[in-house]
Amino acid sequence: MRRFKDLDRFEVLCWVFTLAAILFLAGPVAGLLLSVDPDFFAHDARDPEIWRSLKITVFSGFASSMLGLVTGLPLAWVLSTSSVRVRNTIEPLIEIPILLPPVIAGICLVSFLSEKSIVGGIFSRLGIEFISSVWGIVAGMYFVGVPFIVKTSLSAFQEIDHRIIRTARLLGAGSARAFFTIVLPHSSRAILTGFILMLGRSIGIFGTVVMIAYEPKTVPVLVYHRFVSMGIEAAKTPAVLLIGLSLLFFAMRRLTVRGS
Amino acid sequence: MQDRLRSDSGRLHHAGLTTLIFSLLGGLILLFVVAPLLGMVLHCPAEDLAKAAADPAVTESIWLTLWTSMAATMIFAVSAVPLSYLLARKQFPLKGIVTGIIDLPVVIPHSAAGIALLGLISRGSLLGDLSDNLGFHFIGGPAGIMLAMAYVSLPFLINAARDGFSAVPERLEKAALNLGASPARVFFTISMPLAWRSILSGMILMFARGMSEFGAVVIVTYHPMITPVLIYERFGAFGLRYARPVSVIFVAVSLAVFVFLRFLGRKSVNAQSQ
Amino acid sequence: MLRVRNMSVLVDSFRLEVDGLEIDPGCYFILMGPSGAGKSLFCECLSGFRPAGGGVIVLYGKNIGRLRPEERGVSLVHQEPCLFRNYDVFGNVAYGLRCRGISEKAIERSVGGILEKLGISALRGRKVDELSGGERQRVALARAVVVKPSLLILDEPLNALDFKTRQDMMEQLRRLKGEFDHVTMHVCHDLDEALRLGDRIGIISRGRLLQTGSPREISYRPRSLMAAELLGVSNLFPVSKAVGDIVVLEDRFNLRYAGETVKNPAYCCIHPELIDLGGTRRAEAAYEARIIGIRELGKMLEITLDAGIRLTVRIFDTRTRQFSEGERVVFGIPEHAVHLME
Repeated sequence: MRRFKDLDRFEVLCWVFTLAAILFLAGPVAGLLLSVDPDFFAHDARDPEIWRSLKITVFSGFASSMLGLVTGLPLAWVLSTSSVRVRNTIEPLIEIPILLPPVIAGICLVSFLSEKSIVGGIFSRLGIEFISSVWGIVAGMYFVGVPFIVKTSLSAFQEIDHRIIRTARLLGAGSARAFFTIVLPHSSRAILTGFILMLGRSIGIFGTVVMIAYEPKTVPVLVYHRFVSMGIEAAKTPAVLLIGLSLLFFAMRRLTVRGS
Repeated sequence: MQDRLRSDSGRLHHAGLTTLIFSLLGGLILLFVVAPLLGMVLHCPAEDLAKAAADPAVTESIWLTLWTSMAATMIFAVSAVPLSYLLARKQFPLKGIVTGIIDLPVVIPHSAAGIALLGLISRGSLLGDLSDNLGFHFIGGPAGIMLAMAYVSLPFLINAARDGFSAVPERLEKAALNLGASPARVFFTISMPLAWRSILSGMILMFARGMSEFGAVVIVTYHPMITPVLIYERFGAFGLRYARPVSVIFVAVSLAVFVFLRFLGRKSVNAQSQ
Repeated sequence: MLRVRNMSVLVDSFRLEVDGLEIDPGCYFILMGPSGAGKSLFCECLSGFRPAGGGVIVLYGKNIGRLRPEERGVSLVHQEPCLFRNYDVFGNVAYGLRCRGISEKAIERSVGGILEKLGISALRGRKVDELSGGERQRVALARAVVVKPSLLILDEPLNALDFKTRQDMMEQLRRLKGEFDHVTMHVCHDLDEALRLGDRIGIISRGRLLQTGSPREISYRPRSLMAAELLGVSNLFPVSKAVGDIVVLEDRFNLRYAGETVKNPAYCCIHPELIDLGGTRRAEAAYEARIIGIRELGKMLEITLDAGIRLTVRIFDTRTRQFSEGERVVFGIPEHAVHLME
């Protein structure tokens, strides 16, 4: 380590800016965690309203991410085996939900899924209402999250040596068997990463979900609701829980990436 | 020859049942991803659009969104670029934690991030009192909007710029240092220009993220309304019919701005490389 | 037995045409050619990953040209072992048998047998990441032959191996040859490998099969200049004239030759090992030359002569006589050393 006086003035300036940026990024969260009164938090966290919304959030997050796996993996596989031209046309479409502002994604989904629209009408006849229901929450989470699964698994599929898959085919595996016994296991880590990414995104999404369903409240909506109706102190409890939950997923993702 | 064979590598010319089912499932996703946006645009009558476009509340909020996001990007780029340079070049203790901290705003749900930010700058907090004494108000003004936008979108710029600096060959910098150039000179004449393309695309990304931000901004600053907040309010107060035209206009304006920025960016990159 | 007729495949602007290839049952066939000759493409067509372009592929009486890859009875070993990382060695070898729905007991027996035969029984529980390159390739070979394919394609399987492992592997391939009655198609571009292993050799270039024949035929009687160049044949000369059993090279060299006559001989090669260097003047043509270069190739000596034309001579027994550069020597070209090509 060089001593401080050896540092160039420019380098010092760089470090100052860096420290400022890190403070700005870490400060608010650290401040939030420090400002929470543990007794109040422990008491407030037992509020059934919080528990209900926590359950809804985690359930919808898992449901939408599972749905994302079931539909996203086949799409990624079809894309990885299709010609370059087809892939280049379709890949940008997959990114639409990431690029669209969450609120506008919400508006789009509300008009797409409301019972007055074609799709919403069909589901409504089946007894599934999206607006202000868990179904709608799952749909919103799925919309904003599925690109993560498609993108990560697509790049993993493309990295698999196609000769390995061909070897399996020649040994007698049909394309389905080759997909399940060779392709999926060979990209399991990337798929897991995509799943966790989608889970994190699903659980945290606010702008889209709040448009489709203010009730039942997911935790991000609850944070907003409590802030508006009861003030910032009341909003801190669900906010801290939410941050804890997403940090957990973040840590999991880092672990899966490091393992590879 | 090898490359040519690889270009359509895994393709099998026997389209089996699996491929069919997979394509169907994939098609459903595509439909679900594309149709809502398309539906929104198609369902929006021209007269509603015209009315919304003439509404000063709408135009003002779009303008506010554009300039706050742009200003936030510009201001925070000043500290983000040196940070990414250090991250790309230097080894220092706790670097892993620092990279983790940088991703924090991406990971944390935006409404929670809004609460965290608000706690920092609200009246009664250290920063809030300090700024109040200076006669400067974060809450309820463009400064608050910018702060919230920057918080959630800064990581995109940092990560893009870091990748850009990492791609600059270190030996070029070493060579310039050996020739007697000061580190600052090396940074501004070698590293920055070579990483410019990545920095620029990072800034565009950050700008885009800032513009579309809702969760953090709505908590820190409801008024004056940026467009996502305005859309939320119109939807809540008047319904879909009044929110839709604003959304369509906002998407169209953003698209136009990005096409324009890409165009400018390409020009500036070309100018740099000449 | 493998028969290929009328195959014509177009990839971008590259055309592969194979017609009338016949390989006997149990034959170890070597497909040789430079890179970009269409070898991999041909293998893709045989294994069903690319349509055979209207061609007929008959494997042991069954037309497989339109079958899916998994129905063809073709196994393939690539240059890289391409093992399945999610299975151990046993699982890799058993994969094909499991696809066929064979009972675990029978699988146990077959896999055990083939691992034994290839001398890798000790590896059976190992993860594939822990194996050396040679071990991996052996596992890949075991995996390919345990399913008793009708056609075993080996696509440059020895390329990535070091010298010693390569020799071992070749020995193993040779031993396997006798035990199975499938057709083996071994793609390579190394002449030594081809001559050691092949029952028959086919030479492919620019999408066309130039010649097939036994190793001896191929090395002594290349049919065209292109084939000869691919085989690294030296002493290639254009023929000026051919009358009766005399060919004229470069308008001044008259050579007598034996063997089959070629209708329009355009080129001729003189096998460097068969030139009689420093021998006494015999009845057959004898010439004078100056030695302009001597190169030692291990046990062999390669001598370049200037006799008006530049000739390469290879001799093995270097003890009987010493040669030096600049020395004038007498040499003879026996009839059987001369071979004419179209």
